[in-house]
Amino acid sequence: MKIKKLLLIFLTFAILTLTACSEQHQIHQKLIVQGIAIDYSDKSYVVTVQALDFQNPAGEEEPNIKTIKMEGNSLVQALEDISKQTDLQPVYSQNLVVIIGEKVAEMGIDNFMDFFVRHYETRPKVKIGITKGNASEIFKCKPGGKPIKSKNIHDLIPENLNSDILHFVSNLKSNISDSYAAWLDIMPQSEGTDVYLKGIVVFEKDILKEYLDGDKAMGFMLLKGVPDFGACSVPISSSQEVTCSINEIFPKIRASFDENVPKFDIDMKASISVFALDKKFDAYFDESIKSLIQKNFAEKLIKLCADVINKCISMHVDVFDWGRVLKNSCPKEFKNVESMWKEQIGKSSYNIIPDINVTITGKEIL
Amino acid sequence: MEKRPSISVGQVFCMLFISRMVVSMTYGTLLIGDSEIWDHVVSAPVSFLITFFLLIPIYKLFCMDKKMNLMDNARELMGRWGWILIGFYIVYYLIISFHTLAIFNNFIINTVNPPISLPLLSIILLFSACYGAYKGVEALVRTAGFIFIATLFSIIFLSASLFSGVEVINFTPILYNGAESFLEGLEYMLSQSACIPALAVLFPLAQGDYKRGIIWWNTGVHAVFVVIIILITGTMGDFASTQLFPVYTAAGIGKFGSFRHLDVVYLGIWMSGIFLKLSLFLLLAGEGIKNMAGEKYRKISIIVFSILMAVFPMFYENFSILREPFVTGFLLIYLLVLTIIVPIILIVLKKIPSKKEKIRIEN
Repeated sequence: MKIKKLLLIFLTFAILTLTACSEQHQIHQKLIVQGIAIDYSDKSYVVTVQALDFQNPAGEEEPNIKTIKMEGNSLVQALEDISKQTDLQPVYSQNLVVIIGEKVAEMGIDNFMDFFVRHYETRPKVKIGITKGNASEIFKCKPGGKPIKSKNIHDLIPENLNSDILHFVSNLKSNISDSYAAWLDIMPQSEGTDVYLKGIVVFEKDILKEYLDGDKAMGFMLLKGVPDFGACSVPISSSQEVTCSINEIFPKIRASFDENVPKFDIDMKASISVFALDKKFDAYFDESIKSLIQKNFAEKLIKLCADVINKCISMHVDVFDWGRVLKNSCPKEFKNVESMWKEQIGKSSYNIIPDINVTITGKEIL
Repeated sequence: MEKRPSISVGQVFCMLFISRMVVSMTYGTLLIGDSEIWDHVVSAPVSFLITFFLLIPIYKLFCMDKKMNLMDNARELMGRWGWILIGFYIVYYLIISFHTLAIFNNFIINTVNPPISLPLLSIILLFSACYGAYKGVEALVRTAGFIFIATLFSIIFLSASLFSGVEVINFTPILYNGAESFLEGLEYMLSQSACIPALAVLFPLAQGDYKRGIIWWNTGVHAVFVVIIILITGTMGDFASTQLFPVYTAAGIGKFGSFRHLDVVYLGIWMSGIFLKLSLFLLLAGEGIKNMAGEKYRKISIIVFSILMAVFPMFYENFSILREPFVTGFLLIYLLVLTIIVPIILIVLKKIPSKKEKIRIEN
């Protein structure tokens, strides 16, 4: 009985003193980090953090957005300044996006990636975006007069592009593949108010190698299975074009060795939909036009993909996991070329095999 | 006559399943070093088969007299010399408790980083574990029942949440860099089979179909191991090798409907498992003391062992010893001695008639 009484006293003591009842932090005392932009200037890292500000709410249910700028010799040193500047405790578990400036990317991302890999609050699915120029400029955008939210920047980067910490670090660690990330830019027509996904940034190990936009970026997205980067126009006569919406695209790489030369067959199974001609309104979408669209789209797809593949081959970077697919398919043969894989990329053959399914939608003109 | 607890074989193996899951869920670079995780998918079925072989001597000894556990046999067959063997088991149970506590502390430092001090947290955990051990095996298996259901549901839930994130390209050719990682995985899996020496004490306490229990437990443990390896490799690829606790990291990226950041589910289940494992091994160490000195000293010893372990993190906060390869090797050799050599010695001694019996037979 005595022991039970003692236990009861101890447990009450423990509940009241040892658990979260003491030293509790209210939500307004925390800085919920949503986005981090990293730049380099005058031999120090300039870190801009966008966080939710619960001390000064924007509305009844909506927290305000706070942007804080810090400097330090390293990313960690700069981030340590958050508490000094704001007297708030930073929380990184809700961080959605990391935007990296051009200079930092050119110097090498490995210099600070450890923070995102090792910190106990960071999560590996945080998306990565690269900018041309300063990364902090992205947070200055004000669509509709209000500061752009990290959530919106996060949503700009397609999920299946795999432009996140997890895949970036995986590629760095693999020693076969190279990393890449989404290229974010400010829309030129918007006068500095809107951000958009401009293309792709290719890395060699952790160092920025090349920016890809336009058709090259389109080809990259298609090879990565991202259908919603934009529509694609194909000609159906000398004066007529039709715009195709890509609904789905499933790239599948098959690898083999053909007389000791790596050979890659890329099956591109795509589903596109067409509902209107670009110039003429009274044309009839018959079967012959449908197969013409199919044929021309397939040709365009081959060109887009081949262009970006050739571009990457010329840079000796493996951003499409050629090496890893080859390793999985022909491990014995791959072992012979593994140490000089980057040189081998250019000697390999690449064959794109499209399989297009066209759907005509809309109210048909008879 | 001493009252034996009435627990079923199913309850015992549920408890041992959780006890093993605690280690499986912390599986990662902290305990296996730079070993290729994907190659361990071959280690698991081999470990599954070897575990059956490791169980045979203890099970055989138990079958010779189902009322006696290994410690009872050691005392009866070897007299005071048997105390040395019992001491070996007590030390092993305590080492496993220390090891579990070290993993717990390492995990907390690296992944949770709580605002309260680590020794204080260890003391709270040990206090609960000590209370569990003090209450006895019946109380523990009942608790294990609840934790088992929660563990099972969370494993299914976490697996479902990670399944969509599996990328086939991450599954590289097995044994691509030779058999080294396979052997490391096998060594690790077997060295963590502390449940087998635990069965040396637990067998006579349970009633039911032992063989079925062993098959279900062993299959369950290794099947979960294979699932963990597939999910870690499939979802994270080479990123997993950067993480001390990749299962925890994987839980953080899992998505299930509108559920996100499922690492909290992992934390809840894992903490309950740690409590259960510590309680069980403190209880087993206490059983050893009881065998040597009686019931009164069992309870005192549990408290003393708990205090000993509570003091341990205050002197050893770094826990980098867990990364040393000799720890796994040491645990494996110790395990082999306790599961093969000692039971075989006792079986042989049991088969040789004692002097008194010889005289009786001659007369």
